[in-house]
Amino acid sequence: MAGPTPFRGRPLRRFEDERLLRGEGSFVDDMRLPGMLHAAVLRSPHAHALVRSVDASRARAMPGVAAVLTGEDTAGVLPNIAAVRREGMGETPIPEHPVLAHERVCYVGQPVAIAVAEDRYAARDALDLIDVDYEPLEPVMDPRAAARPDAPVLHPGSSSNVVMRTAAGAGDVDAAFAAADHVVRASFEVPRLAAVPMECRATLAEYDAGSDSLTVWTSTQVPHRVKTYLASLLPKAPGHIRVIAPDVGGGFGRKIEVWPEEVAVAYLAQQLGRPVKWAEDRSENIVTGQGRGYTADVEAAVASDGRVLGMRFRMLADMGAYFLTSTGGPPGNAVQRVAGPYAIPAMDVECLGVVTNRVPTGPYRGAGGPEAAVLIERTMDMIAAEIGMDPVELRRRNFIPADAFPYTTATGLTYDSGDFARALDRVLELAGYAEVRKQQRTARAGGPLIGIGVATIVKASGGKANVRNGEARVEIDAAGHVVIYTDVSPHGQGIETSFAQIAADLIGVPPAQVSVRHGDTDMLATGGGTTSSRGLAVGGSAAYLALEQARERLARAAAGLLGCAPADVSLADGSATSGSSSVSFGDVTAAAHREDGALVFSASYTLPANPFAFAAHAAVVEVDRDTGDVALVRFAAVHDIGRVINPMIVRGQVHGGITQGIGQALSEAMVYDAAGQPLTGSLMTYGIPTAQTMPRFLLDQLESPSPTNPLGIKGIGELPTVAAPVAVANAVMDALRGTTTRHIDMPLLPEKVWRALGEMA
Amino acid sequence: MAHAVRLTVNGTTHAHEVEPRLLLVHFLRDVLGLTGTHVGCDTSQCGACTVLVDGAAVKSCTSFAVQADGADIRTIEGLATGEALHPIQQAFWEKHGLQCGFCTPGMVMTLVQVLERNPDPTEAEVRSGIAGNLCRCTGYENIVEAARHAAAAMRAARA
Repeated sequence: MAGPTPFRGRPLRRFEDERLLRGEGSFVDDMRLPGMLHAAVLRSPHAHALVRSVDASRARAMPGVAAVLTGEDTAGVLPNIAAVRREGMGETPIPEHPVLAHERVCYVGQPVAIAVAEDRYAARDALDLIDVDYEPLEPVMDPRAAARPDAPVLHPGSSSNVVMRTAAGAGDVDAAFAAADHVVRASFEVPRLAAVPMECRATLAEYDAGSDSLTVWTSTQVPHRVKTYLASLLPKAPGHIRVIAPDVGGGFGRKIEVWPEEVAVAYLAQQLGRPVKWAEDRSENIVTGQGRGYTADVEAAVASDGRVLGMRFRMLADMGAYFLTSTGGPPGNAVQRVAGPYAIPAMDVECLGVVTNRVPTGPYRGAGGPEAAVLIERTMDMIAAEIGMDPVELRRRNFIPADAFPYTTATGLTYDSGDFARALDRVLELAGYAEVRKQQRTARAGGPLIGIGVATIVKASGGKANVRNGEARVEIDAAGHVVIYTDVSPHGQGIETSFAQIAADLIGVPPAQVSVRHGDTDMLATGGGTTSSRGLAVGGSAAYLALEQARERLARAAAGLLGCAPADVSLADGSATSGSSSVSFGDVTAAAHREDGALVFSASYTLPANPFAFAAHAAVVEVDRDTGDVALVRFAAVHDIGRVINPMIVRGQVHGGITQGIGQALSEAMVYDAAGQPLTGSLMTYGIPTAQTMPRFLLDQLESPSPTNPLGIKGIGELPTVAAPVAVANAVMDALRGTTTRHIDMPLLPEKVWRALGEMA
Repeated sequence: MAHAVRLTVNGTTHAHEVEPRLLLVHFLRDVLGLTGTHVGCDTSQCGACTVLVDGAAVKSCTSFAVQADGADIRTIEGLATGEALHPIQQAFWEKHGLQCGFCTPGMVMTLVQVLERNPDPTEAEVRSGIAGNLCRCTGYENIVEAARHAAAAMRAARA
């Protein structure tokens, strides 16, 4: 007899949506507390300068201004935000971010002072009355120049601008190059990007002196991390700190942070005894919320049959002027992920972290993955061009075969499962690869240049070993309402729905009877938040373990009611059944309650190893010969993400992830001038994709369940953003194969492409 | 210097004294407490603040409250009829047209105008119609789906 249809795999409509659709969401800036003050931040207009003096007396005297905090007030009072120490940081002193700049500013946008007033307009007015005397200094802007031994050093007392070295590799690389028939060399630049969540950062803090408790609502992906840091940074640590992430309007990695403004706002609320709210504007968000920023030199040793024998990567990561808590993370990911889906026996990879006079970087969707994918996947296409082989065939020859899992790359990643060739075949079918190749051969002279590009990539989910643990608690009341508390802190991922589906399959509760509560440090002792595509793989698994305990208990209660053994009870679709007799889910929970008084099940879970998801993307572009404009005519993508809980949500993640990747490929980059001024500091100049420039996506998926976790999950959040940029870049360079230009760094803006077209071979 | 404004929002008339520089979006959010209308940028690109002013989609971060004196304004909070969502809201729910939900109110209000002007838009027309509204989560495809689904539902309801 077939069992009940599982909720897993159903495109259930989201429980999150109705209040958001009615305008009843509660984002931080929507909140208002009695007596609340508004904060505004004065930021450095210079990339590098001495601060001779800050005079806030006029601002403090302004009617409606409650306080102005400057670096002079916080020096020696608020400690710097301690960087998370990571492998490769060695003994080098890591420049830590001060909450407010004191004596020196090191990037445009660095917080210098913060004004607090009765309303947001008055707070902003107060900033105009703060007089800062700067003495501009020469900025350090070019990471390659900054890394040279004779370069001027940014931080006094430091011996070098290179503050971090991270490396990976194995095998005899020199022997590989000695044996190579071809050596392919290339240099790349992966620009800085702004994450641009639609909701900018915002923080509201309230301190209650009577109970010595501080509550902070902040637009974050990591409430527990913010709590931990506040406890150590505030000079008079409150007896109780509670951090709440209410509705969060997107994060994409740049809300995995403890920001100076969050610390300052909490400190001010405590000092003033009144709630303080700060909401940044978009320009502040763009000049402060950035990721990526790499240059790299790559060499590949290739045999005449296309096998890659060995590779060297020398990378520089632009860390910015200081390290915030997540700044050191992405380079460590990048050095391992350059292995891609290939069986390359010898690799030697190094990334140096260099300080420059820019805002600190941090993870942005993919966090080391997209930058690594650009390097390996562009190089694969250059190898193919060099040896005269189709890039698809070259990839096939180098893939890790489906029967080789688990497979450990030369960079030290152990892939759990996959079938790369099958996913690639499917995406070629979707994109019409063979037809496009034929079309290229028969294209009319003078028509648009057609290009097709593929990218095949692997992406870990769950994060590094020290963050792969999660917590969950399940509470069930007598009437059968189920509450799942999770340490996952979502901002669009739909876990209120997918966790309810997991619960429905395990304990038979109707999904609509499940509440999923998240983003509040008072709910659970620890928590990793939503980072590293960990939501379902870690958080979902923790919930699964707690729900398994609940199932065991409920099966026992149902057995009592049905007069059978617990093993004979099936819990599904709102009832407990044994043979032909059944009772309702509510009857079962009521019975268990009568016996136990309360039904509470807690679990913590540690993901033993990362699941690795796989993506094969293919882009078809048309390049306008006269303008260099790139039109995306088709975009196909196949993802192997293990088991799928809600396919509708997965598709949504895929659409958004691809779109951000296309933005990176075609229009997005943080551009600075030589003086360190950002030239793309607003949405007028920083070009994120619009509805008009995006194509429809042709999608499919494979399910190679991961053996690493009970749900068989592989994360989907970041995967598409890793593959899409370089698929598009490969397509554009394919369209330009008749020119003498071998490579153009992203973004592939019309001007750059047009210049390459001028060099037609 | 305060200016008196009197305007109707979602059917209720409000009279307030406001600073001439007060943006309409801050009037709605901070004075009236209607926080469904969001602020997503400071250069009129993102459209999260879109409301209907006398029936026309307007970016409320780019107009002053005093400019709306005497106007009839509709915000996301005034779109549903009690329990029943507006067909566009309903379609966003069914077609997964939102993820984080921050751009959603502005996106929906813009589409009210798009579908009023063109009850049967092509995909390209929908994409053009929402080109002034940015979403960073969805890649737009499901929003476009939702818009066309809503258009069909609204046409059927009129037929």
